[in-house]
Amino acid sequence: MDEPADEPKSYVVAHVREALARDPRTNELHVDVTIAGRRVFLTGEVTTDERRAAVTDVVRELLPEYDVHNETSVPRLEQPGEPEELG
Amino acid sequence: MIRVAAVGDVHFGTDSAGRLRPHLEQLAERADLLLVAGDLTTCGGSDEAEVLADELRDSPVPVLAVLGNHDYHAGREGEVRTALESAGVQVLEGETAVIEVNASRVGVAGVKGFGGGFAGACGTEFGEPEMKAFIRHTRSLAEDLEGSLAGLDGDVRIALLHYAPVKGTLIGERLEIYPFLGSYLLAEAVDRGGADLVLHGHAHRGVEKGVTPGGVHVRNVAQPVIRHAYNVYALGDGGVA
Repeated sequence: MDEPADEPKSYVVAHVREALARDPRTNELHVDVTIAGRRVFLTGEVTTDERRAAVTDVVRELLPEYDVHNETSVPRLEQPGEPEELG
Repeated sequence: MIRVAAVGDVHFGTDSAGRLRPHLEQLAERADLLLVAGDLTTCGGSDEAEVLADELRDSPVPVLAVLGNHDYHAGREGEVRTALESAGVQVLEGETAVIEVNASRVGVAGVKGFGGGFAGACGTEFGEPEMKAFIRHTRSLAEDLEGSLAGLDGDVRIALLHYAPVKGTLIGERLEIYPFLGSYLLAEAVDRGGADLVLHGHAHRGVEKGVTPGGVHVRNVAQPVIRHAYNVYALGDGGVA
């Protein structure tokens, strides 16, 4: 879907978030979207590298006229620390 | 002392093999059981659940889980459950389990929960059928939880949820979405039914620690919050705090 040039940015942000949530390649609900001019910045965390790549694909397909900056990250899990004693 | 390992929101996809398994090799040295607080999958696909099931298969400690909203997305929650059960995971949907640990009994009441908001700023059973159905769903699950806890025969009792029972573990989330993150009805059920610990997930940007109005420990174990493969909580067997 091409967004008209005068589409309010808040609508564009909402459409991107909706696409990332609904597209089966991503189903990501925790990506932050920031629009600056013709650049769209994606931040936050996704679970796997494959899904991170798909986030870029989905947004590029939705907004082909925008430069997509995928700055999401995939967190690396650490071993647990000491138990918390709850009594 | 009973050591409970817990994590939620692992969000497994078909490409997640190996993400959790290496961290489970020392599980038996660290914990007596593992509880998983929902959102086991990304899209609710049985293929995703199979990948997680392979990671949890032959776990050295009992594994119990509830489903989360993601696990319902594809409408195949029954297949998700079956895949996990085939690997030995006990899936609790309004059900209970009692695990023997070092001559103590750990009772777990598991239910997904749902949203609606928190006292003073919550939805009510009023208006359109859809709105009433939304709150009724939460209320029904909360009633199940209260009944399960009240009837649970354990030296230690744990409520395992996906949705949050209190606002305290939501700090960092946007206020506008609180009603979609949990409900006070779940905390009320815990305080009435009695428990030593409530575990939940769902709130990726919240914080780990909270407490119910009745004084029960609440821990948000969503993996994006705890940043570990799991956290461990040590509980005495002296009954409800």
